Amino acid sequence: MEVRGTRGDPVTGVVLLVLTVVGFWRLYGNQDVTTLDFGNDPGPGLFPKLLLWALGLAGLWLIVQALARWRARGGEAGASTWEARRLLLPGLMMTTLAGYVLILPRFGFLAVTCLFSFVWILLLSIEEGARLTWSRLLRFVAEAGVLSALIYLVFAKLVRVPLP
Amino acid sequence: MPLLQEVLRIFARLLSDPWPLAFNATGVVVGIIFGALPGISSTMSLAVLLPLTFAMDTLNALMFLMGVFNASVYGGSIAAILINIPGTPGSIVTQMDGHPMAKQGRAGEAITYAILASAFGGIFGWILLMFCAPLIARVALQFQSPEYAAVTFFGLSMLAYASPGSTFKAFVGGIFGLLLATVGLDATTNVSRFDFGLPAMMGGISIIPLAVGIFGLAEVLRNLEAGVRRFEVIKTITRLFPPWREMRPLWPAAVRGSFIGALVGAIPAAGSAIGVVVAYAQEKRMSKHPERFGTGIPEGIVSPEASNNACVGGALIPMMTLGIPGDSMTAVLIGALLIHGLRPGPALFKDRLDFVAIVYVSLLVAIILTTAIGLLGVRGFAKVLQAPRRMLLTGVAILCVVGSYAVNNSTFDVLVMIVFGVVGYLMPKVGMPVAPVAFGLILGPLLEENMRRSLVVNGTWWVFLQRPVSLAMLLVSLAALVYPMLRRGAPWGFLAAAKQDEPGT
Repeated sequence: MEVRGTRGDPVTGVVLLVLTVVGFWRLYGNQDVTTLDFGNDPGPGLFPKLLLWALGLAGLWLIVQALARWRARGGEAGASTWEARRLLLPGLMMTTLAGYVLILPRFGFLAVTCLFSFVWILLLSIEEGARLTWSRLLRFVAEAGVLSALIYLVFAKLVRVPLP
Repeated sequence: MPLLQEVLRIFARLLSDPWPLAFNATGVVVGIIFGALPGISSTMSLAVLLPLTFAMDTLNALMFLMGVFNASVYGGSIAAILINIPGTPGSIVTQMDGHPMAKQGRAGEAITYAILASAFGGIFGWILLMFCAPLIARVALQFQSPEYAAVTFFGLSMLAYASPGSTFKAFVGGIFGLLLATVGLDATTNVSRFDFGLPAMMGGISIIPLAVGIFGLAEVLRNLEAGVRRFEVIKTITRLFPPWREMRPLWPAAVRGSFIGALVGAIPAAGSAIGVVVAYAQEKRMSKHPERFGTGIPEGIVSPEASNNACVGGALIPMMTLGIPGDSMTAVLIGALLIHGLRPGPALFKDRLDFVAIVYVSLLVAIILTTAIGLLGVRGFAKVLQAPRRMLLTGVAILCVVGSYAVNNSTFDVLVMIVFGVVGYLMPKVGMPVAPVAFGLILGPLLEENMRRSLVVNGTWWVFLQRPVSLAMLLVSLAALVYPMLRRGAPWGFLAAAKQDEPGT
């Protein structure tokens, strides 16, 4: 799925402009940056301001370029290869990851990781066209358990890295 | 000769302490496995395995990471040869001759060519690192703030120039990364910027969660989007060693590939993917039988494989001497070093020779072990290609969470990783490479600090143009940024470009 050029450029341009506006809003709303005297030092506002100007101009440039291309095509929208269906699994991954992170402190690493692993092993098996049987489900549970336990043992016990 | 003494001291420690070697060997095994798995790049491997080193001392951590770094670059060739899909971007060219050779029943020989060429290229890059890094560092130690600011800007512009696709968009990505570096407390004045009232934001955005997000999670999301890929694995690996008479004429190809790889690697931000393409094209151009390339000839494997491993040593040169990442992997490596309290740069060659020696020794040991383990475990590593995708993607997603949490024991960092996972997933869709964002985050504090210090000391912006090194760096940077646009006819020719349906990339 690619959206570059045709619709990607104006979208990127708008995102950059929004980022610029929010950045300037936060910078000028920060009294420490605007009112404190830093002597010879240009202060903590100079560098971000330069970057925000650059981002804003880049955003405008992308939009102008996209408009010029649109006019050159006689006002026709460019081809887009967006396929919302293909966003389903990435979207699900983001949602489940966010949920995973939020419930981790409540139920502990092993239990939540087992659940997360099982859900994804199941989902990806369905995607691969696997027929669901009880024995397969049991196998997935075992795989989820082994994966979670392995990560727990390596990180928490072997190299002693703190886990969520 | 204090550096040589340090190197010898580290070697002596390896003889008395088995752990560093064990960590290096583990890194090599894991690196080959991760590198061999299609969809898991070397950078992603390094990013998700980084947290394993948090509790280690510097020697063990670098031994492990260098093992992963070097071995994952070689590992990519296994997938390229056996399933015709590059395991890592550095092996995109290896498949062109590696897979046809494997289909002729010579898979073992193709892998051996790749291993030996990788070892040759690795040693070549290591020698270049050994001799060039101290010289460059000696020059860089004379730099003052204006030169340092200009060199940092040069690194960023070279990144934009060397990135695939649009130089303009890569540069915008770099600026976005620089802006992210300004989040949190300003080191000079202690004023907090862009914290949105959240205490967690005052600490700034750490490179590890960002790198794990844009290189790790984003790749998982892209794999999920791509769906199930069916590929045929060549399972029969018979004879490993080709006859000596076939190997002997390949030396020139290995030397040329290594030379190109090390040079490209040493250019800030130019990665192995560029090195291998240049090396392969050059080899084909110099060949008496260019028409045979792509049919399964050893030169087509040896040249790119020597090149991508030579890139490893080359990429470490700007990292060690200037603090500028040589490629996306060294960007992640800088993050690891920061965790261990080390800021790469020329000062290391004055104050921390022990660390420089550790890098030299760990890379050399990694090259030797990659060759040995790679040769011994050819058949075993080939089986990795049959690992179930469901376990792989789920495991990597969990590693992303664990890795980003472990930096500061912070759930906020995990959320940062998830956000940048989405950013890293979406950016290539609009033609923006993701590596510049990580580079910008690393280079941001350097650039800002040196720019402000220059202005404080000299009181004028002209200082950047009055000093020869700084002026030269800025001119080269300008050329690197403007040249691609002139070549395409932009900015004044963008209408014509639009009519030719070459939108924005």
